[in-house]
Order: sequence, then structure tokens, then C-alpha cells
Amino acid sequence: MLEISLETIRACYTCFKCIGVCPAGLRPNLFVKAYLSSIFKEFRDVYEEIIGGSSIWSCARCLKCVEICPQKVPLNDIIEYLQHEAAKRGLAPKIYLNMAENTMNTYLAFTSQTIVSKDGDFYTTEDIRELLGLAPLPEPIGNEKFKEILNMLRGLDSK
Amino acid sequence: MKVVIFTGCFTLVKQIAVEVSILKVLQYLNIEPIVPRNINCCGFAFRSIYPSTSLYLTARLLASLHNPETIGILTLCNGCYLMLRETVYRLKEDRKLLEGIKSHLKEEGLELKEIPRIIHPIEFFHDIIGIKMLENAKRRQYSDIVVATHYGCHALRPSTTPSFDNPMNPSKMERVIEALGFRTRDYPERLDCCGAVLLATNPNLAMRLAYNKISGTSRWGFSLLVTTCPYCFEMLDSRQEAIMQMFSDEPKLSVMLLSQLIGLQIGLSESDVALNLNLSPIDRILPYIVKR
Repeated sequence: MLEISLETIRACYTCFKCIGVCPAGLRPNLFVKAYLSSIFKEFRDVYEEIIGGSSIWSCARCLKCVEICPQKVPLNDIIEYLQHEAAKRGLAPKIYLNMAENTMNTYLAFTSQTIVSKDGDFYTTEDIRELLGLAPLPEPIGNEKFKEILNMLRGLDSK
Repeated sequence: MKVVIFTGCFTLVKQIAVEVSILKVLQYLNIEPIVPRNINCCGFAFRSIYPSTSLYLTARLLASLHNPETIGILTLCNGCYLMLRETVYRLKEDRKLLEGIKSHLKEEGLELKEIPRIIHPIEFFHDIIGIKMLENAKRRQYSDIVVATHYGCHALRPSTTPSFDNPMNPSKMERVIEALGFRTRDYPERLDCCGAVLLATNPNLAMRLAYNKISGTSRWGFSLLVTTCPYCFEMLDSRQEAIMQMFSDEPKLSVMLLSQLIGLQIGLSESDVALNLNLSPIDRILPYIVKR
């Protein structure tokens, strides 16, 4: 996780430009408040509400707020910090945990999919790759060490 | 010239046309693609939940994909591109972090000898292939066709990590498309998000963002929207019908990959660039681009 400088966060003067640009209709300035409360005692209620709520998981990661902020507050890093704090409390969306699990077991976050063509034909990933002469998906053979390292790192990340 | 191709998971399992069309275009341009099989997920989706794990996954890619005989790693997915360029930046800045990662890589029998160049497809066509080459390769001039460009958020932002173009006013994709003989024009939704990241946690909002992008873009009279990212393509092309239905509207925007448009313009066939996998209404634009 990137370290965020407190001086940078405190530069926020609530101009609300981030709210204006957010396509998901979020209020990123509240995330700044929540971050501050992780260090100071103020705004603890805001912190608890944000960590336990769904708004941090509704960020589309378009990164427009980061560019528009006149004070260069790293809002993306703040949102990721808050998501990480929520995850440590077991509040991360299960789909992301599954993707990490898939990656550990197969190297890929996604498993085989159904692909539809314009003519209405259905293919599995493996079939269409073979049909179009593309290399098969990576095989998770001999990945014991990879799994071990990933497991260890995931453990560290969850603390 | 040789280049390593990194598809990323989503292109590999779902958006096959991204891989097929770029490989055919490279073949035509006499560039040898190296497509390694020992790839892994870059960790983009769960980077906030497992930050060190994601960083390791991306660093692992740098080590396993690097090939000193190539110009670098052509990264087809915007999410992977962001992860790779950010990791390169962080590893160059932080020696201690780099050493920690190197020791884990060593346990897997991998070595990060040097940090390769990470290349975005737009950067590849604009900076490496070059505008002159594309102008010479084009078959026809299409003065009537106005193309909307869609870079995708993670190709450009955040500007704290260097990218190939201006994060809020890019122009390289426009130059590439103009070199192919088409016209481009700025529009208010040009840098708007496709919503793909939200598919996992808030699908209704994801569809709303994609709908805003599609309906907003179509009202300016564009013949075609072009992108390079498999996730943006999923939202704007593959899911367009479902998205429009959700908002009681109809599919109305033709969407193509940049590598498909380049392929058609240099004389490749529709099947060469896997155009049968585009689900947006491209039939209305095809007669103007492809000689049948």
C-alpha cells in the first residue's frame, strides 16, 4: 500500500470539484474526512460509516477526481486505503476474493467463458482459441511455490 | 523487430478479438510477436484488498515476460497497463521494495534483471510504427466517416504515474485514426468512463455509466467508436444491446477495436480481425470501410 502524506490530505479545502466530476455520484471529499479520522479522533463516525458502507466499492476508478483536484490530493490512494481497511474487517466483496483465489490456483483471475458471435454461435474460451489458432490457456502445473508465496502475501495483506 | 504481447486475463478468456486482430496486424507489418504462455493475472481487480499480492503478481510479470531481444511488452489491457507502469515506477523509486520482490521471485526460479519498457497499443502505433508508415499503408480516404476515440481511463490516468499521452487531453489515437484516412472530432464524453470496474460490485451503476457513454457519444453523429481496451470493448460493444435494453433504448453505436480498424484499412479481411465477434451494430458502417 502506498504511503499517503498527511500534509497532502490536509490540503483539501472542500472545493467539491471531485464531487462534480465523479461519474458514480460519490462524494470523495468524505473519503478524505474518513482518512483523517483514521489518524485523528475527529470524524470517527464518518470513518465507521464509510468503512461499513457500499460507497467505497462504488468507485469506478476513472481517476478523474485525482486529475481535477486543485490541491493534488491522491483520492485514488485514499479510496484504496479505505477499501483495504474494510477488507481487513472482512467487508470486501466476495467476487474479488474469488478472483484472487482463482489467480492463486490457475494464474488467471477468470475461468473459461462463453463467447457469442454475431451470427449467434456459442463457443467456450478453449474452443474459440483453438479454432482461431491461438495458444491454449496457461496450465497451472508446478505452481506450488507460486501458491505458497501468494498465500503468504495474502496473509500479510489481511493483517 | 520483436515485441512481447501481454494479453491479460480478460482478453485471453473473453475478448479474443483483441488478441487475434493485433497479431494479424503485426504479421502484416512484419513485426514478430512473442506470446509467452507463462503469464498470470496482474492483480488489478483486487489491488486494494491484497496490495502486496497484486504488486508481486505484476512484478512477476515483469520478470517472466521480459525478453531482451524485444522492444518491450505490448500490453493489450488498460488495467494491466496501469498496473505494469505503476509497478515499474514504484520499483525504480524504491530499492528496498525491489529487493524484497526479487527474493520472492528467486524462490520461484525467476529473475528481474532489468525493467522492460511497457508499451500501450496506441503508443505502439503512434510512436513505434509511426504516422508515416500508417499513412503509406492505408488503402482509401474516408472523408465522410467521423470516428469517436475512447482511450479508457487507465491508459492515461493517474498523471502521477507517467503515461504516453496527456491524461486529460490526449491526441495520439486521433493522429493514428487520421493517418488511416478517417476524421476525428472531440466530444464531451470522450474521456468518460465505460463503467467496467463496477461490474463486480455495482452492476446497475456500471450499466448506467456505459449507457451514458454510448447514448452520449451517439448523439454527436459519429459513425464509429474506436477503443483498444478489452474491458471498455466488453461494455461498449459486447454488452451494448443489453445495456440499451435496460434503459428502453436501442443499440446505436458501431464499436471497433483500433487494431481491427487498422487491419481492415491495410487490407486484411473481416475474419482476419475477428469482426464476427463484434456485437454492436457495425453492419451499417462496414460497407463504407470494407470493399465487398
